[in-house]
Amino acid sequence: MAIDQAVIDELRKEPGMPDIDLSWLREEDAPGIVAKMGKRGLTLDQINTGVYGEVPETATHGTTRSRGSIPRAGVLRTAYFVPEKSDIWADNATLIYEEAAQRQWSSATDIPWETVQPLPDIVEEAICQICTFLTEVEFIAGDAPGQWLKQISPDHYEVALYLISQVMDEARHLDVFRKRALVNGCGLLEAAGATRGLRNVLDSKDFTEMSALMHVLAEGFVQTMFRTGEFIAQNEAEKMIFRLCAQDESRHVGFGVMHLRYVLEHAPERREEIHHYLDRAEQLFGHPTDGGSSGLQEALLITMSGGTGDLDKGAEIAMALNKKQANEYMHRLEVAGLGDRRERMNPAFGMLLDPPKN
Amino acid sequence: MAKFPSVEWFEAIKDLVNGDDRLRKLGTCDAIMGVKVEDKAFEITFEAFDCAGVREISEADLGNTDFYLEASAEAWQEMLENISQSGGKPDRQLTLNTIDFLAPEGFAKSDDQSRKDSFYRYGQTFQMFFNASAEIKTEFAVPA
Repeated sequence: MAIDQAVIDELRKEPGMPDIDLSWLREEDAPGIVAKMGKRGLTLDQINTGVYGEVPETATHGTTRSRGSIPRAGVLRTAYFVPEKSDIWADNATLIYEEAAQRQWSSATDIPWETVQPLPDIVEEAICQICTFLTEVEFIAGDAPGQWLKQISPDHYEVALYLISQVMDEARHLDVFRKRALVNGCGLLEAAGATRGLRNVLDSKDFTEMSALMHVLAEGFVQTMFRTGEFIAQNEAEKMIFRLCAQDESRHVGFGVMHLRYVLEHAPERREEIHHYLDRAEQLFGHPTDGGSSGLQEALLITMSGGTGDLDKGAEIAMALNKKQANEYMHRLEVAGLGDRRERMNPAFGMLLDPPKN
Repeated sequence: MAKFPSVEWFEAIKDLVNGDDRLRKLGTCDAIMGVKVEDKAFEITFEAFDCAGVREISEADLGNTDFYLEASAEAWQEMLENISQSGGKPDRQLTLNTIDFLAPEGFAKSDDQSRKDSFYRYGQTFQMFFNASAEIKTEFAVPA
């Protein structure tokens, strides 16, 4: 087939430069920000200056446009975001995100696994039962915030970054407890299954509901359990695992408390609604199918007795743990501005509370 | 040899942990920790990657810290001697977290649970701070 000579001539030419438009470059739109590094390096708080630090009360677009960038017509929408800042915000989101990035650790190399030595069967099995439960719990703890990521607007990107850091933390917790279960000759034991309380967290229809249930209630309880973990630890590896996990968990609790405080300050009409979520969650956390299987409870008693078989001693320490969990939960709600929770707390928790300080 | 508790003792620990990058490796820590031993009180400030300052304060000033660690002189001595004898790896009964858990009134104290949570949030930093005392000789003000 003959090719037109004109086409051949055109193909032989060097490609020409397209006309340069430069319509995207408008000097009047560039605010000329020069962010300065601080003691903690170049953090989000340091770049959140000028127009870049102005967080809109309402996110009005459904595109991926970064806060502070210049809108362009014809851009495709990607999601329906939670529009109101007061529904998702916490003033410490940037601080906690940066801290999470700084304080990451590796379950592969930062845990002195060589210190795990053979233990009496009953102690090893009890620890593995606890690890089985925690592996499941941490899976859900990653899923729950993960479900909300797609609903955080780029205008409120700080919250999205925090949630991503939490998902990473929970992934590491899942893997470190799984590793502990498999490292010393026992393995994973009885699965607890998604208990009603945990299922309730996953089913949250509102971000604040999810955060109050997961960050303040559930993770607050788990944080106390992790701190107790150093007491039940049999070696340096377990001490380190529980200490590092408690640190991570404390960041999540810190976000939750500050989010709840922000909501109550900016949308006080939501107080009763939040009480309702907590009414239900407290009831489910005390449900017979919750708190894990009886296997978990018995494993805790065994480890808290120091493996001596003195289950009364284990029960005494477990009661001290429950008391701390309930009191710290109540104190965090007070910090968030929900001190009136004391009067309507589920009696299963309320009976564990110390009298108010004033 | 530094006497515990004293500004000199805490300064010695501060110099140790700031001097070899060990705090930096753990990540940022922003907290004001109080230490109360009998009638003496101290404030240790952590900022970004460093232990930024140590000073003696009044008991009343403990309320300005994020949290303070309070125990008898004997309990402090037991913990620090264990840290020294174990080469900076205290027994599980004598880690900061376990002492806090087992003490009926707690070891870390604060009127504000959210500020107190910084004790747990930076737990590894504070544990490393006290573990560093294994590297100095400590004289106890009131021998147990």
